[in-house]
Amino acid sequence: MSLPNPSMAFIPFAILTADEMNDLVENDQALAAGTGLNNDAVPGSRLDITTLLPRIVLARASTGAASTAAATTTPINIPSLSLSAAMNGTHEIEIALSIPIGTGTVPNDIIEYQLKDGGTVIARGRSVVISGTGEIPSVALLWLGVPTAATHNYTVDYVRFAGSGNLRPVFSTSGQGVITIKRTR
Amino acid sequence: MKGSMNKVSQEKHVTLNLPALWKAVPGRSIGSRTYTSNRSYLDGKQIKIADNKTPITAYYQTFTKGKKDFSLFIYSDETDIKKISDFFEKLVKNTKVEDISKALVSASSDGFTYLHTYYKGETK
Repeated sequence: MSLPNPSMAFIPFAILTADEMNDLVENDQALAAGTGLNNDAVPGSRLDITTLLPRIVLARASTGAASTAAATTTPINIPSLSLSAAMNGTHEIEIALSIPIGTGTVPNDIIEYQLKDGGTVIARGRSVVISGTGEIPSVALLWLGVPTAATHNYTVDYVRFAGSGNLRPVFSTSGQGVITIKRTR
Repeated sequence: MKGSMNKVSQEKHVTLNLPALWKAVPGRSIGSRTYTSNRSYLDGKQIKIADNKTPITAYYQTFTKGKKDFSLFIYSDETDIKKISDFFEKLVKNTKVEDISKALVSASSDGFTYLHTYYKGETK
C-alpha cells in the first residue's frame, strides 16, 4: 500500500490521539497529491481518456466488408468508417484515414475521398484509375486541427471527381479501410 | 462461551477482558493498540484509568464465518497478542452464525455485542 500510514483501524471506545488524527490527514494529503495511490490502482476504465496527454486514440474504426456501391457524381458514404468523439476545444487531434485499393470502369477517371466533420469536408484525397487494370491505388489522408468544444461526427464519402465511369473502394480483410482519431497535444 | 449476547449501545466505560463482537475492521485481520493514559475501563465493579504502570491494550481481529465478516475486540491487560488471538479463535468456533448475524445487524460505532466469556476463563 502506498499510503504513508496504512492499516489504520479503530474499534469502539478507541480514543483518537492528535498523532493518529494527523496520520489520517497525512493519508488524505497523499491521496489528494496522488502519491498515496498504489501502482496500477486506477484502471483505464476509470479514466476520462480525453483528458490524457498526447497520442491517445480517442476513436477508431475499420472495415473489411467487400460490398461498396459504385459512385459517380453523387458522394457515397462509408458507414463503417463513421466516428464520433467529444472534443474540449483546446486539444489538438489528428485524424488518419487509410483507404486500400479501389476499382473503376474507365481509365484515368479520378475518385475523391472526403473526410467530413458533420457536413463540412475537412480533408480530401484523390486517386486515379490505372489504365489496363482498372485499379485505383490506395489513398491515405491526414488531418490535424483543434476541433471546437462539442461532440464531432466524422464521416467518409467517396465520389467521382473527374471522368465518366463508376468508381468504388475495395475493402477486404487484407485491405481494410481504417480511420483513427488521436489526441496529439 | 455459548449462550446469549448483550447488545451495547451506549456505555461510558469498556469492560476489561470481556470480548465483543462488532463489524469487520477494515484493512487488517489482527491489530492492537496500547493505552497508557486517559483510557477508563470497568474492572469488575471498579472504574479504573490506564496508566504507565497498568496499561491496557485493545485487540481486534477480523473473522469470516457463515459468509459473515465481523471482528472480535477486547480491552485487556494481557500483553501477549498470540494468547488473545487463540482466545478469539475459540470464541468464533463456539459462536453461532445466527448470533453473529444478529449482532451485525445492530453493529455500528456505538453498537456492539459483548460475548459472555471473559478472557482468562471467567464467565460474565
